[in-house]
Amino acid sequence: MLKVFKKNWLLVSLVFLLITLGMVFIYSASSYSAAVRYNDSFYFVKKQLVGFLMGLVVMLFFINFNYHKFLKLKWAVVAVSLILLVLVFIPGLGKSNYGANRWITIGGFSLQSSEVAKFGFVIFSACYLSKNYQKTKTFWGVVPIMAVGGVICLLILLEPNLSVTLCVGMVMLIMLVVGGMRAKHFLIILIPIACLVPILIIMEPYRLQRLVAFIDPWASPKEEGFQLIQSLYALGSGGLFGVGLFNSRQKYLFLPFSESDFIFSIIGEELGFVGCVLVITIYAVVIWKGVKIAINASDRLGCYLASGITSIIAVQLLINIAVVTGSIPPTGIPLPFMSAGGTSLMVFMGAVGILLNISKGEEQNLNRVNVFKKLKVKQNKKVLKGAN
Amino acid sequence: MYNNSIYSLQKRLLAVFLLIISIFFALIIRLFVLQIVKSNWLTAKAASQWTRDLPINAKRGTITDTNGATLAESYSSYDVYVRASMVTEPVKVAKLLSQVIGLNYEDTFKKVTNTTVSESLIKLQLDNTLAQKLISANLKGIMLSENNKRYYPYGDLLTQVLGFTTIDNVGQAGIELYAEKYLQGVKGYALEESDVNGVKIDNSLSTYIPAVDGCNVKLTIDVNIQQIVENALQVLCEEQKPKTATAIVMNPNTGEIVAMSSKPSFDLNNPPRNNVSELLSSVKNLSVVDVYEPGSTFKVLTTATAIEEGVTTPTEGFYDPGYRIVDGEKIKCWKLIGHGQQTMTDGLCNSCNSVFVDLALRLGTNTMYEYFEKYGFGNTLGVDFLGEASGILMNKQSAKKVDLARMGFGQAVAVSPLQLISAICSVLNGGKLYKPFFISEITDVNNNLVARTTPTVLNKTISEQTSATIREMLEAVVTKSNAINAFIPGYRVSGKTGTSQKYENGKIVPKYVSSFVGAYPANNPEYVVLVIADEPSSGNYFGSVVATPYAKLIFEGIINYKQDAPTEDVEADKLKLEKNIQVPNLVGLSLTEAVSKLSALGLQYEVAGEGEIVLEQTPPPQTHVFKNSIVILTT
Repeated sequence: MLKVFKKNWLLVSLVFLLITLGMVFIYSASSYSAAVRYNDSFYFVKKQLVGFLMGLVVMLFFINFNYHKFLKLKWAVVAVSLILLVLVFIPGLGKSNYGANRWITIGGFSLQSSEVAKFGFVIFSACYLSKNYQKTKTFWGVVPIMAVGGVICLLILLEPNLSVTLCVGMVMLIMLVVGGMRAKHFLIILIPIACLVPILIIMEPYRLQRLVAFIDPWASPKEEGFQLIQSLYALGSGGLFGVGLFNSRQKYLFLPFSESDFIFSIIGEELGFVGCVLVITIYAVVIWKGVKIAINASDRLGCYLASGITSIIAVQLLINIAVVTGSIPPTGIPLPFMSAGGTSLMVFMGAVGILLNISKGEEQNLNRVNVFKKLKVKQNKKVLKGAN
Repeated sequence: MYNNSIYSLQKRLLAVFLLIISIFFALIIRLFVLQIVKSNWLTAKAASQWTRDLPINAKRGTITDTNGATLAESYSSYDVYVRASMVTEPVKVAKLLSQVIGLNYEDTFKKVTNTTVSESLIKLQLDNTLAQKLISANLKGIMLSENNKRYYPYGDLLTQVLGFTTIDNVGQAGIELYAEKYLQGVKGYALEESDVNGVKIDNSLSTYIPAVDGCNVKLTIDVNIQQIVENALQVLCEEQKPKTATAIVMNPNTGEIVAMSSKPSFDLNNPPRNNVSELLSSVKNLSVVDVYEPGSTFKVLTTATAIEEGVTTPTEGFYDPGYRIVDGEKIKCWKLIGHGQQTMTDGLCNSCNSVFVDLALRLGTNTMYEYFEKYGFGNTLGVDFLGEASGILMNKQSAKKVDLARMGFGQAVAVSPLQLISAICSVLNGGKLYKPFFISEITDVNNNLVARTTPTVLNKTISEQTSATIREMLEAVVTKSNAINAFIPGYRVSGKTGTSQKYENGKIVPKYVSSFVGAYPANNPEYVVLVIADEPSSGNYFGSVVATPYAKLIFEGIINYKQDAPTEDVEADKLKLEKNIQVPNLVGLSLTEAVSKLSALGLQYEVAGEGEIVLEQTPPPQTHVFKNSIVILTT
């Protein structure tokens, strides 16, 4: 196991750096609000620590869990994901929060179903693609992925949780692209999704208000635009180098969810533009490492699995930063590894565990043709056929 | 050919990665715009919500009397609010508030738990000691804001002069209103860093702009003399039961108002705010804002004008048959049988209307009005008080001879008490009409002088020589007439009584204004006193009985306060007042017989009614009285 860490030292240390930075900023962002609300300024930090310890267990488990076992378990994974998503709606188990059913509570422990389900989807689609990669050129070949993804999206949408739906949808698209779907089929599924937008707005009119608020947040500074304005204030007052660690002013209850979905705003306020770029760079390296693991994976399953996991990290990061910068309409999605939220941290750490597990196969495959060697060969004007 | 090889898979993976990285760059550009380009704009907007202004009330200035005694001052009280969203122990908070302030527990609990509003008012103006109890309990959600409460140490004293403030400490009447801009001070601000709910952040920076406390206003009033006046009026009200009673003490040599009072009045610490009509009527400073027909006290001014203009001398002889006929209209003297032959000075002592009809007619309309203007009638004097009355003068062109004749003895003209006393002061002080004033000095909190009133001569009314004559004549009036009630053995007091009957709807009604104006010391007045009783209802209405004794109380009080030694022979003076005369039985006699009997005994008299036969007398026969005492004859 040490070998795995040693081999992926950069990825592992950057992930732990992100988690640590996350803890620091959770403390900074929530110490005041937690003291006001729970009389304990470490309330969120403690919860995050619990999530981290559990995440560590899950991570170690998956490092040693042969991912090929997923092939047999894929339908079980889908079933578990769907059951968790349905349980949310069962009174007594489901916990309603801010008008949405996103959590289930079992014995005092609450879990956000969609956090698990999105990885469930990745596992399923990776398994499916590894067996059926040749079918992806036909429309019907990609239907199972779209069906499972569609059902999961629908259930998450009903919670309602638009942001995670969006996230799963985008991950699905990436999986389909990586899986080799043809461009025209891509269009076939994009059009219905585009049609879905007005339906979603009709279902929950607050979404339109959010959309309008996103275009001009100052039109309703006290209502819909409030959170976005507060986020922009945080980022804006950060300037180039930030106001300094723990010196955020926006954390004094001005910016709601400053410790979870909007933690990046507090980072931007305290560390400034420089800090933001630095954090994004760390993520970019983590994602690059994920992509490399995918490319160097010993088989298609590993490649698809690593691609899916990496794309979840990337997509969530993009959506999160786009939201806090007011680049897309506000929607709540955690920043991977950093936002307060035990389930999210635990699941992402587990996912990193799977990534590390995949990377173990690389040695067996050193001589296999891969894109990097191919590129070098190309430079030598020598064309080699893929060794599949 | 479509070939889904590992190689093409990897290529697509790289393409997706590059897409993601390019979105990263887009987001970094977005961040650059927000954090660098728009930073200042966003920071400025954000900063406006990070701080909260807390107004700091300025302490209202103190009002003192001329010796520095505090008449009105402010002390701290607290407004209590509860912010339900911050309350962690609602039961405790509600219990504490209801117990300390004495409120209903259920109502308080409702407010404590009402989170639909950000703050609920619990109590305005809570005393400092109770507020400290709330502060020391240190419970979350209780908000206290400091305030200044107005306190009047003397309570029911100088009520109409001082006035009072609203519950928000804004001057509402009297000096409190007039000097508002000096007394109020300048509010300060505390700029505090706060959270979104306006709760101050611990250990945060705060900018503190201190309040500038209001200036202190020093009045010309001497609270000792004011108390003497208040007490005298109190006695007057109890004994004579007038509708209102008014008194002014003025320094004739400066125009300083030394004391001023009107009754009824109320305790300034507890104005009858629930009874608006009572509040409005008793807060009126009648001396300044009200006008009345001065009656016989006005004769002093007619005398001064006439002597100044040379139309008469103190020794000139006049004959009074009991009336004068002017333009075919019979103007009766109050003594219907007439005063007979008398000098000008006697005419003033006897208050003989006929003499003053003559004087007014001799002076003529133009001269009379010229002097009215000099005395300050028909115009405001510019006293430092709001709502000063200018008096009512008949249009000069429409004033007929008969009107002029009446003006000579103080009728058909209306002036404010303040105007009358100011004019009287001018004829006693050598002819200078001073602008009357209340405020002698305004100093700021650091005792720097902001403003000081210097005595202002508005007009030169009469010559020093005439004034000296008037002083002598007015002193004679006290010793020789019904004004004897103001006589104080050993001291020189001058004065003139006045009794005027009221007109209502153009008809004379049995309602009177009884007054007295006098000065002490008579030869070089330092204090001029005016006492007016409006509509006395005890049965008497003569100024000599209803007003003069109370003016005497004031003079005695002042002498006692100033500890002035007697300037005259007290024992000799006392003889003038000795109770060695027995009042004869006069009932049934003709008025002429009765008067000659009284004159022979050295008694003064007043006549009530218009008959020829004495029906009643006060005091009754066989009573022992002082020489020069007044016997009232009812005919």
